[in-house]
Order: sequence, then structure tokens, then C-alpha cells
Amino acid sequence: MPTMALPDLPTATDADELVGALHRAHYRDLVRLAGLLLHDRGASEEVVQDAFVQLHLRWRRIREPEKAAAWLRSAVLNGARSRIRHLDVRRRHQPAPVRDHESAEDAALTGDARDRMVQALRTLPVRQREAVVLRYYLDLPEAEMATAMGISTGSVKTHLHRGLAALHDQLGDQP
Amino acid sequence: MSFDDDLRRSLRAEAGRYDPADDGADRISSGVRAGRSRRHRVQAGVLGATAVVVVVAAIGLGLASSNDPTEVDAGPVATEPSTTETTAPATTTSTPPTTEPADDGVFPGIWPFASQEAIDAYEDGDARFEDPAATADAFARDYLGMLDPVVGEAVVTDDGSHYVDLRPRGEDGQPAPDGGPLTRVGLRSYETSYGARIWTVVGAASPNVVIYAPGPLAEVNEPLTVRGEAIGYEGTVIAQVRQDGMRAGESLGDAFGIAAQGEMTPFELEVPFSDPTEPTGALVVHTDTGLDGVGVPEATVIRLAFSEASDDEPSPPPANEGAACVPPAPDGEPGDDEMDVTVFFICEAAAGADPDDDATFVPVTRRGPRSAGVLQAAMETYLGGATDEEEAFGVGSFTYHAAIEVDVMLESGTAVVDIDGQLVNDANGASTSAGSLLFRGALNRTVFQFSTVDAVEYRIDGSCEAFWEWQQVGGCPLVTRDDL
Repeated sequence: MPTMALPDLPTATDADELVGALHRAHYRDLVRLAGLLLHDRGASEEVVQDAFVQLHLRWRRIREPEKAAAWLRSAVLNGARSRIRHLDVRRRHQPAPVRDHESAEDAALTGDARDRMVQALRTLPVRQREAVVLRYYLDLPEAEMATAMGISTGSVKTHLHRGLAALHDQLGDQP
Repeated sequence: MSFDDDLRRSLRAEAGRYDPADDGADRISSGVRAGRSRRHRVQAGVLGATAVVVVVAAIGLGLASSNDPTEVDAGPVATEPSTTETTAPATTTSTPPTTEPADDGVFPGIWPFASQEAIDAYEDGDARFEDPAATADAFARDYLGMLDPVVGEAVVTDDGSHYVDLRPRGEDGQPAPDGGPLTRVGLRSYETSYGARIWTVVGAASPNVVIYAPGPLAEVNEPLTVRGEAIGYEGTVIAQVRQDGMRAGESLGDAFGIAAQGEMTPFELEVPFSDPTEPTGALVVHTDTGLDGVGVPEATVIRLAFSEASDDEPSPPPANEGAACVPPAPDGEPGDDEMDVTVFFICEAAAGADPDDDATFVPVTRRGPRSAGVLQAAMETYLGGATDEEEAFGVGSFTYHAAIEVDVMLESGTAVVDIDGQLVNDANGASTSAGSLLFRGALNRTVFQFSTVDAVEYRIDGSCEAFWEWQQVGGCPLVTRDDL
């Protein structure tokens, strides 16, 4: 029979140090990544926080610590994907989100052109949106995109090609 | 500037809008503490449970085999330790290529072909079933409820039987580095009337879920006592009784408990189940990680036969036959201070009380005092349950004469229905596999009768996760009309 001993957990030091280091290095970028997929800052923060919590609790299952960042990225994509339906339903009934602030890069691009690009991105199916964001925001190679998305590199190419074609089509450009 | 450059700059500018607040680290720490607390409760639950869950074990991962053609090939089972009173026959996952039914007359196939008649009726149907690995893949998804499993190749043992190994993918969609939990599926092939060879599953077993009793092909009565040993990574182990034709998410009845971590733990579980309409079925015992997007991680499945009800056992008489499930509606129009409220309950006279059948859910209208919140009134009425008069007309509910508080908010088409935790105590059977589908089927129909509601989030004591955990569903899904 089981005892009252705690279940297998990482030592506080191991997991705390890992999660702390990963948090400092990647938290903001992961929230931004989720934001590009969810278009909701609060939901994006929750998805990323959930991913960090799961990582902490499953430290022993992350056999290769050097891959923890990739694990987090994949967990964030999965979490964002599962929230999209949730948020899409609500978004249909809510006013457009208020812009929080503009970054330096924001000002460098005309608002109209950027808005058209972002609006076009939002119309893409989830997988195509993920592929475009991973390639053009994180600049990931196809192999890492495939790992993050949990699909083959061939499927990555397909989603990316279709996503870019759809963006070109909507924005009136030729691929 | 090229299109690619525009796209990169647009994404970076857009991403800047989502810079997080400064409390992320604190929130993560809180989440970790909550997770640890949950694991403490899991352990305590194992110690305190009188009917700890689950089952099974074993398929022999070094599968015993036999060339005895008379051996009943019924899938994996284990022999109970000698310290227990009852022993179960050790069996194998051997799959001799025979078209003959088992000696005792019970057809050994569980899914997709559960009878000789089904084999004979197969003409040029689903080509998946002409390949053992593809059949195991379909079994994993459609029968067990695994999501995108990793499916091994079909292996032929010395005695000519076949098995296929299944493993789940992790939350990241990738196979676990160590392979993850194993479910070994035993298959048997049959030759159809036009010469094709098709496959059906005869059993499955996980080394983490061992069933000592009942044995394969056992004839069982309700309630079914399941005894065995199990180990769970975290969370629940579920035992389900299914009749032939049922798939993932369907059962005649189920029971669940907390799986231990770290070592195999004995359990004994009593599974109540409703009257089967088929003579045979299966016992499915699986673990549950409680994580989204993972599905059933591992399972053990054995073939069962249902005992026929004795002649002296009276069947329940239909209530008000001829007017089943149609209680009288209020007369005339409601007065100025009154309003009619319609809720949906379960028509117990409907064949099988199938949650996928609209006929299972019947509207019942009552007249009460007028109030501004008709959705609120409908929820209170639903949670109160059917009246004695409505029961007499064959209308059933999961609560009776209950007074369960509920708060309803409706904003921009999304309703939030926050139910008092008393529901968990009062709604008997509403969290079983079959019961939960009926409970939510009636609840959803009651909510979505109002055209102003496009989606609904259910909560218990303010927690969406608590509601769905009670319903044995992970996460916090928003329910829409499409889910009806």
C-alpha cells in the first residue's frame, strides 16, 4: 500500500532553479508568442503560466533539461490552441481590445499596413497561424517548428505555404 | 521592403502589445503550490478510500502463449496473489486465426466485430479492419478514447496470435522519451464469406492496470465487483462496463477512484450498471492523467457476458404508459404575476436513455411567480429536479426535491452558471460516464432553449474546473450550441 510519503517530485532546488531560469529567459517572449495566437494578453499570460507550472510539477519527466525551453514552447502552443475556441466564442460578443501601448517597432510601421497584416493573420486557421508565427516571429527552422507543433516537417511546410498564400491573397500581393 | 520583412515587422510590433504584467513569477509559484497540494490529496485519498479503484494488470508483457486450440482466447488477465480468496484464470493475448467462436459460445471479439453475425455481415466496409495495426489504431481512438496514439507494428507470436502495442503521446504531442504507458492489444482474424481476412480486438492490457476478477468471458451480474491492482501517475482510474456496440464515452455504468503513485496498489471496486440490451460486452479499466489533450493513456479490456435476469425478477412497469414523459402543461395563459418556465429532464421510458437521442430529453413546463431572470428560474427549476407528479409520467432527473442555489449571469451571449457545491451531494449518478452525458444533455438543452444564449460556462462554487472535474472531464470547456 502507498505510504504518506510525498509523491515523486523534484527537489525544490532543482525545479525552482530550472523554472526560475527559464522564466527569466523566456517568459516575456512566450507570452508574446501566445499573444500573437490568442490576441488576448490575459489569456496569453495564463497559458504561459500554466505551462511553467506543468513543467515544474513534471520536472522528472523532462529527461533532457536542455530541451525544457522547447517543451515550454510546445506546451504554450498546445495551451493556446485549446483556448482559441473558448476565446473566439467570447470575442464575437466583445468590443475590439484596447491597444495597450505602442512599441518602438510599432511606430516604425504605419498603423494601417500593420493592422491589415495582423487582421489577415487572424483569419488563418490555427495551424497555419502557428506556422507563420513560429517562422516569422521566432525565426525557427522547420525542424524546430515541427517539434513545437507536434507534426512532421512536411506538414510544417504545407501549413506555412498555405498560410503565406492566404496572407498574400488577402493583402493583394503575389507570392 | 519585401513582404517577408513587412510580415516580420508586423508580428514584432503586434507582439509588443502583449508584454506581460510583473506578477507572472508569483502566479507560477501559486500554481506550483496548488499542484503540490493536489498531489497530497491524491495520496491521502488512496489511504482513505474504502473502494479504491482499479484494475487490472497485465497482459503478460512477456505474454504467455498456448497452442491448445481449445483455450479460450479472451485477452489479458492476471492471476490474483494467493493471499486473496479468489483466483482468476491466467490468459493470454494469443490470437489464433480461427473463425470458430469460443467453446462456451461467447464470441471473443470485442470491437469492431463483437459477433459472428457482424463478421458475416461485413462485405466491403472499412478497409482499416483488414490490417491488424490499423484495427488496433481505430480501437485506440474510437473504443478507448486515446488521442493520436503511437501505434506499433503487428507482432506475430509463436502460436500465430497477433498483438499491437499502443502508447499515448504527451501533452506536447510527441511520444514520451521513455515510450510512455503501454497498452497491448490482442487481435484475432476472421475470414469473411467472400474470402477477405478481417480483424477484431479480443482484449487489451496495460501492465499498470491488472484485473484479478472478473476473469475474461466471465458471466457477470450487476453490480460488478472488480478486483485488481493498479498504479497511476496522478489522478483517477476508471472502470466501465460496456455492452457490445458502445464506444469511447459510452458505458452502462462506471466507478472510479484514486490511483496510487509509485507502486501497484490493490483495489476492489463495485461498478453499478444499467440493464444491458446486448448479451455480451466488456470491462474497460483505464487511468486518467487529468491533463487536457492527452486522452486515455492506458487501459485494460476484457470480454464479459451478462447474466440473464431471472424470471422472478420483476421488470419495472412503465409509468403512465401511453402518456409517457408528457406531464400535463399548465392551463391557459399565465397571470400578470406569473410566468411559465420550461426545463428539460430525462425521459426514462425512452429506449436506452441515449444521450445522443433527442427523444431522451423532454421539456417540462411549470408555472411560477414572475421574475426578471427567466434563465435563472430555469436553472433553479432544473436543479430542483422532477416533481412526484412528473415522475409518475416517466420523467426523471438527477435531483429530487432539491434546493440548490445557483447564480446565473448572461453577458454578450455567454452565460455563466455557477452552482452551489451541494449539487455534488444531491445529484446522484450525474458524474458517471453515462449519467454525466444525460445530466449535461438536459442541462444544455435547458440553457440553449433561450436564443440569447450562445455559450455557457458551468461552475461549481465559482470554479469552472471544479464542475468539469466532477463531470470527469478535464479543463474548462465552454459549451456552445454546437455541442448539443
